[in-house]
Amino acid sequence: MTAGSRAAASAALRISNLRAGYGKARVLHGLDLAVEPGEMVGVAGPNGVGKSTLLKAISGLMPRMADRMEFGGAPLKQSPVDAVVQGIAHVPEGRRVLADLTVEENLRIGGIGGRVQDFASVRQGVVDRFPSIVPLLHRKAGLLSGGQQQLVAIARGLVAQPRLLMVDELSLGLSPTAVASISAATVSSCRELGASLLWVDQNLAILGKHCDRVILLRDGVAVDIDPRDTGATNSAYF
Amino acid sequence: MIIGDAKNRTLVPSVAIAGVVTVAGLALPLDPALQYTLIGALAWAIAAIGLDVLVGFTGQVSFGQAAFVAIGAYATSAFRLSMGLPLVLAVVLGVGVTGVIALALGSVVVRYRIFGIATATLFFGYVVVTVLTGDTFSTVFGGANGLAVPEFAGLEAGGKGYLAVTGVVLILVVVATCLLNDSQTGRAFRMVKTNEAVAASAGIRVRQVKMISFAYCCVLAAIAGVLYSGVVGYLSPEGFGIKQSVNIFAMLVVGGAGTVGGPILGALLVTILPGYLLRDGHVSAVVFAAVLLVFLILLPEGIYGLVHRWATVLGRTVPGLSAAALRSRSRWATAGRAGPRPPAETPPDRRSSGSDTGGLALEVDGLQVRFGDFVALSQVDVRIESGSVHAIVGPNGAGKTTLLNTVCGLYLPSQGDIRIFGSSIRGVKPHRIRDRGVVRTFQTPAIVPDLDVVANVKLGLDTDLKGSLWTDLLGPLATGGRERVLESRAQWALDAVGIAARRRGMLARNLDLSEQKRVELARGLVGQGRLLLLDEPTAGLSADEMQALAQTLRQVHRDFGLTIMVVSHHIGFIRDIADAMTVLDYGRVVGTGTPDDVLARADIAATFMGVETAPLAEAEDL
Amino acid sequence: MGLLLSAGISGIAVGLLYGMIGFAIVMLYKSTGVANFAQGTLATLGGFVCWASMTDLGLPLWAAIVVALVASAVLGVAVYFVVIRPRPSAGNLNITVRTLGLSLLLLAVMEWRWGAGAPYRFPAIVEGTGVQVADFVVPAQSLLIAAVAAAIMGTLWALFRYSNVGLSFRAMAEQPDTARLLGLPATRLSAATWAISAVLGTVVAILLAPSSFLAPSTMESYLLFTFTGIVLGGLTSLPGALLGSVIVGVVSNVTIVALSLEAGVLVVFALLLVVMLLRPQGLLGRPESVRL
Repeated sequence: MTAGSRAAASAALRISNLRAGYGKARVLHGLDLAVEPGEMVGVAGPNGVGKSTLLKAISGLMPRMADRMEFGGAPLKQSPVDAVVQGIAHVPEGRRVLADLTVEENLRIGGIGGRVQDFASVRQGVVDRFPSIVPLLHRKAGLLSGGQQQLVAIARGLVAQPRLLMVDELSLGLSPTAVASISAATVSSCRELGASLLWVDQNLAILGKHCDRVILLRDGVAVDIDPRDTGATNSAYF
Repeated sequence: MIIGDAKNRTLVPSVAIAGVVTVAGLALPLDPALQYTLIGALAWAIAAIGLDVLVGFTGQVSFGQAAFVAIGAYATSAFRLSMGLPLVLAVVLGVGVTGVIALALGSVVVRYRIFGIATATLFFGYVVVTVLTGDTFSTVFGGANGLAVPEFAGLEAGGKGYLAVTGVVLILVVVATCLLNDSQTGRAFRMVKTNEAVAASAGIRVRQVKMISFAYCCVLAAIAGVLYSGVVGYLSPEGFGIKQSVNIFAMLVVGGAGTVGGPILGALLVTILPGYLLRDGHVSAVVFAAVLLVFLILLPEGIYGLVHRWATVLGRTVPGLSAAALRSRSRWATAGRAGPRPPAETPPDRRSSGSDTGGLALEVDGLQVRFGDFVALSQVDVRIESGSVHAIVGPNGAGKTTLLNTVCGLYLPSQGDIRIFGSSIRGVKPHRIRDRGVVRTFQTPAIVPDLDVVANVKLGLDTDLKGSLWTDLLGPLATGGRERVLESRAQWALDAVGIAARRRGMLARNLDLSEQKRVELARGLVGQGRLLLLDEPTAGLSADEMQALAQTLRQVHRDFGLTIMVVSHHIGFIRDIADAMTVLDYGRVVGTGTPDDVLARADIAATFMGVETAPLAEAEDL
Repeated sequence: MGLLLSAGISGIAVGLLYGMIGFAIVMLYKSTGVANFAQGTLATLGGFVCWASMTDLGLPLWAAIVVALVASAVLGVAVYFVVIRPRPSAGNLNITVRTLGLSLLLLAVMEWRWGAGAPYRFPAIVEGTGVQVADFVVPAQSLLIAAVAAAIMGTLWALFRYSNVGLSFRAMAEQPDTARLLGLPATRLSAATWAISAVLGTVVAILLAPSSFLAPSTMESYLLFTFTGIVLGGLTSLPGALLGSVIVGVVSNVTIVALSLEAGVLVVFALLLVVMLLRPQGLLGRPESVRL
């Protein structure tokens, strides 16, 4: 284990009665959610059901109201800077790598905002877990394929030494092989680094395969489901 | 945008402001300096109203308004002095020349967003002052020495008569501008301000609308220039520099952009405060700039907006007032529906009624769309039978919205062809595609938030019932007949989508999401749409709202024989309404057929739920 | 011919000055969406602070320059917090007009304080006739400008490339939302961007003042030429702003020497319109994907 991984002790996320939305469109109506330390949680549901909104509300990117919002026992402030400092890293939908920066620079950016003490060793720990990144380190991130960009975005999240990694639509626009390998690398990295994972995706099967628990968002509230139970999933998607 | 709301129907308060100021100026015994400043303020108000049409209503910008005031003033004076033309002819020619120059500059700058327009107009202002100051034209324009303006026949420069003329012209400008803003052209201004891409796909010629707005702005500047030249009696280039352009901008910011009365108040404050009350030039300039900044930062809605807000609060607390306001609003809401309304089953002038069955409404052949290196769609083939409902489904990022955007002309294909009712749309602009009957809704309802519901729907008729700028300026006298048709059709379309009558007079932003989606649908139905493209009409709706929407869509589909292409994630909704569906994944078509057949395929289920199957052919290399 | 060639050379120097201001404007525009029309008057004010430090406080030139640079950094931060940051919901156009208002305010203050005696002679930083190349002379001031521009651009390039702060700036400029999401301190970075802009402006004013004299409205036409350079370069491209500005500098200088001041202004304006018509995305910009 590297120095970086030891420091990344996990913490529990506790949310109750979360309400959030865009202007008129209230998307989340009183959602309750708990993520235990070290737990891998998948969030599924069709488009527009509020999956991304949930992650943005947690990292403080959008206005929200909740009865309780705590991470590691401390209240979550409505500020992305504080979220990163508290140990929450958010990998946004569409990857959003910084296209004009090299992969190496993208990783460095990931380490600036957070609570990283020894960036070099944390970075090395992350790069070791994503060996396919190594040959790309000096290329511009904008010139990479979708799968490569997704990998960079996740690595950029991990170098912030998060206690909770949030990934939005990992599988979006990627081929099944790419999805399979990136998912495996992400989940194993989180387990090794001791971070919990909150992973939002439309791809229910991939969540079921990798996560400890899958939640279905429906009508702005969350329901625990068994991803193999097609009856429950059909009612959400069809 | 700068300043809060662009209100409908500002005619009465705006004319009242112009009228009260003029009458007060005429009735009160003003000292000559103040009277002189007041006339100047009224002239500048005209230029500020023009700029407000461009900025507050159309969402564009110009930092060269003072230069157009200068062109109007100098051209008119030069026609009189150098060519000896009579006053009226010189004014007509002077204003005309300004309009032509505005159109020439406008044709370049309308392609740009704020930064480009700001730079070009600012620079233009500098060029005009440089040319007027320079020696090249000093024989005509007087160069740096300036130009003495001969007195207008029978009008003493600073006298009550001149004040009356200026006031009357201002009132006429206010009336014309209010009428314009309430007309089809004015509604198009607001839509361009809200979202240019949406406006284009609703059939509005975006660049033309921006040009009209720019030209109107500059013509008012020229009229202001003529009146100003008469009262000062002497033109000198430095009075029309960048500083003065910023001053005019300040008038609408301080007064309240997006209103017609606001700029008049702003002009009075900006002109009289430094020019008359604070005569020390330096102190006055500092105070003036500080006041402008305070308004920009603390009161971005301006004086007019502030008073309006107070009035609303007052109206709420004083019951009598609010009841009166309600009465007048409901009168507005019902007035339009008094006219004849066509029965719902026979849409007016629907040339395509009943004919859109058999044949293909849409053929997409080998379509490829790329953004730089990213291929969003490749080898996409879609056939949609006339009169059918065809669903496009697929996971996020599959290229569904890109396909709709390409069909309505917002994106250009890099390969392949699209034919709508048999003819290719290659090289056809979005508004022309709208002319062919392609009507589009957007995932987030693309309505104009600060227009009322009925006005939003009328925008859908821009192509079919085009107004002209000239008739729109004359208001109901010239456009009454057309407005009655627009009104009755809009009401009919709102009936068809089920918007309650009492909600139709409200500003569109105050509706809830499902109503906004219906209003957008009504805007599509009201014109002669034949192919309706719906992007995620169900997103964000509750199950009940979704069912009600499906009901409405089935109804309009049956009644009007429309062809519908709908993108949705809700399979239940699609099973409910679609005759056929196409599944997109990674920008390619992975399945097509009737919903039941397609959804029965295991590999299709995989694209929705990610059930693991064999990797698709083009597995992307990491 | 020799005259035009030397006009072209000093045009490059002037273009580099436009380019430095343009660089500051594009940096602000990319990270905040605001076109800073106060850049010119901020620069002039920096020049006056330098001048006043010499005449009123009796400082030597180098000390006055240090005072002016520090003062403009402070002013830049103050402007950000007082004028730009409050009420961001008012929209970019509102904030852009605020910069114009600020420009008016600073101009008025300068006119009040220093307007009466303007224009002032400003001491040159370097004396001497310059360097003889073939049959014409490259003025010492042009060489200084080129050297300073190269030094500043080199420093900024290294800063952007190697320092964490510089990387954060680039992230902010490319994707402000993502930068926020990654926990970068957006407020502090924006304040720093304003400070750097103001300092760059002051450097330009001090380099420019010896040849153009110092008056409150000195920078008016310079700002226009700078904006033209930015549009030429493609609005959001930092190298584009530099390239466009040098083109504008050379074209304007050569036409002014060959014809007249008026002609110079007109030719640059014509250049702006032609580029806007024929290449709307500018020389180094990217075209828009949506057509209207």
